[in-house]
Amino acid sequence: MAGVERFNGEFDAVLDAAQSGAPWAFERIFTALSPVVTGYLRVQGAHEPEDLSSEVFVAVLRNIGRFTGGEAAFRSWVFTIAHRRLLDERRRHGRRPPFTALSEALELAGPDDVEGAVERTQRTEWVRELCEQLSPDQRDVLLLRLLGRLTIDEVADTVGKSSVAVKALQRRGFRAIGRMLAPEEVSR
Amino acid sequence: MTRRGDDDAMTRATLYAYDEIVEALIRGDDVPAVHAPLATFTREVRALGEEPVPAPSNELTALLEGRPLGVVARVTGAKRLVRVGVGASLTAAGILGAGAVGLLPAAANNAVRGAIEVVTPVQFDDPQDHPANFGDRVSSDATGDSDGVNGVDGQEISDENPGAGQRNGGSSPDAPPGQTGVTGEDRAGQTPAADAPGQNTTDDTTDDEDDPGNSGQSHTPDSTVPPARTENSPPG
Repeated sequence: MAGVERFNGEFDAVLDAAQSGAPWAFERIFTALSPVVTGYLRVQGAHEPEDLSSEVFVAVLRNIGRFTGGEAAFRSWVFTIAHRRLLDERRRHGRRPPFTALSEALELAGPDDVEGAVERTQRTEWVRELCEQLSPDQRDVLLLRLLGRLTIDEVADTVGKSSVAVKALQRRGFRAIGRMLAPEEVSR
Repeated sequence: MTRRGDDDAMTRATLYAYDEIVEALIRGDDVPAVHAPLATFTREVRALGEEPVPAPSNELTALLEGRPLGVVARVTGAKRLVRVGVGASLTAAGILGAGAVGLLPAAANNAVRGAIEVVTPVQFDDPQDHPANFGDRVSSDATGDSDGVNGVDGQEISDENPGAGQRNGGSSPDAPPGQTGVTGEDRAGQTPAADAPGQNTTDDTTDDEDDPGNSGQSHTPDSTVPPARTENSPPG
């Protein structure tokens, strides 16, 4: 699957080093996967995506000695932790918080990346508006498949449903998105 | 919102074909033009994963640098200031962390420590102030190296200081002009209260911890460091 590999074929070496406690390997893992994990948490409406992402990677690095498997399995493992952290945060906050305001996103971006921050915020808002009209299960499945690049079976493990159910949720989710976009002149 | 009945309207062959389209969309493969809006959606979702590396929390920074947890306090209220003021890149966070543990050259280390102390409530102890080193440093004034006289100065007041003309020998430096050598205690009998019977001139309330005037001395602000959180057991 294109774009899945983020360790340039060196995942096994990175994992070995990380399990031996090498800081460079920790940083490599964080650098490779934190953007996509943070993006997932952000579009899911996490209260503080960056903070939650840090919590996810603290859990990942603390428990990395127990992980066995290849890069795809590792990615799935990381997203499972991210998804559980997201659910924990939703329980803590009671409900989904309002989306990060554009002004706040710009403030966090710093002066060097205002244009990029605006573009990312607009993209996130567009995706999030569409995803908000899906059922929570459909949204989880679509985002885990598209952002997490998890397989049907991996998503099923993560959300605690059967593969058949996940496939049905995915189909309905895409059809719903298709209907939302049908009358819209897409110019992106 | 979709309904379960959506699938009922599709034949098995149609469902299969649609699932194939969906898998192609997820892979990022080309799809028929009729599905172009969905292709745009999937492309935009995937692009959300290409955002910059977020600034790690202090706790994560410690892990990334192989330091034991707890070396750097996690101060949630200050994190945003750190991000805005110092930058959001991992490199910046690494430099901050390195500075926090004294891994940088002295000059750079001081600059980083200063930057952290300016933008956060975190205060770094001077490594020379470690309890094991207590007493190692003695003021050159106290040893007499600075002026050849042992002991701490301060008993004498320069004649160049303001108010020197008002001072006589043996008078208090705090005495107001024109009343040299006369203290408030000396003039206690001149006050109206001195004539009131049964009055105790000693104010016992000044040692009261509940005295609002002392409130700022006996209490410290609540800690901003949140309690440690329990980690999830990861799967696998």
